[in-house]
Amino acid sequence: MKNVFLRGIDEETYREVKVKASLLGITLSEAVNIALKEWLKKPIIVEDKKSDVKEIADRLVEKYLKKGVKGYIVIFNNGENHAICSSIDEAINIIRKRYTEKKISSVLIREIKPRSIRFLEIGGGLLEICGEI
Amino acid sequence: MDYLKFVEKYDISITPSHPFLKIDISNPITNEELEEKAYIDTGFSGSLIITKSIFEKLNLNLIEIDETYYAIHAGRFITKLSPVIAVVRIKNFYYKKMKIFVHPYIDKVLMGREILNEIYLCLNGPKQVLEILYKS
Repeated sequence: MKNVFLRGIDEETYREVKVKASLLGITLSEAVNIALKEWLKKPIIVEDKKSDVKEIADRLVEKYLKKGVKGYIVIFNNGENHAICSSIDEAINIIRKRYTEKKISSVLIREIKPRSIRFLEIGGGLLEICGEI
Repeated sequence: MDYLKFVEKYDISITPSHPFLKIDISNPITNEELEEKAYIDTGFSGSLIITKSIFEKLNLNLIEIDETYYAIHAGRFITKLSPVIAVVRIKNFYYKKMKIFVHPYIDKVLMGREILNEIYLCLNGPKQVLEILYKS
């Protein structure tokens, strides 16, 4: 076991940990070790800041959901204008047309439904991630 | 119906060697296309992971999808992915427009089970070759 001196511990938290440790009949070091081990088990989330265009997409989804519209919103040039279509294939055709007219620099497609979160497991690539973190 | 066999050697520059498939990824809007090595990743539950550099080269910002996806690595590291629509082609036997994912940190293309489950693929480790059988 190593002896470590820590600065800047929150006094209120420290007091609460001390009380809880004495109630459980364990030392403060044991409580800190338990807390650190639990913290290490927590996932690390690497996330970019939400972009302005995604906030525009959320607002548009809310608006069209209230009107009962179904399908997809195609948002052009970071929210400059948008179009509604019924499928991804129709969205691709609209984007192609505007691209040939040289009218677009970026496009975001959003289905008209509340945002859901999906997870994908990845086997490979962890070495690169560890290098970044 | 006859079956044809396609064979690709493992990438031996990686230790241990890693099976891969040469694929073409294209932008359905601009038709720009890139040939890439897609490393086989049976632990990946999605379709295809691409790098930020491929995203930029193919101008896939013209076909981004606003859906929230997270990649979980080893059940511990969680990274936000950007889904885009692209056309994935493997030689002359696989051609599909699909949702693929841009990973901010990984620097190689990973092919997951969503594609692998659609092809007859044999990892012949002792011969260091990947074999694919497809209908002629």
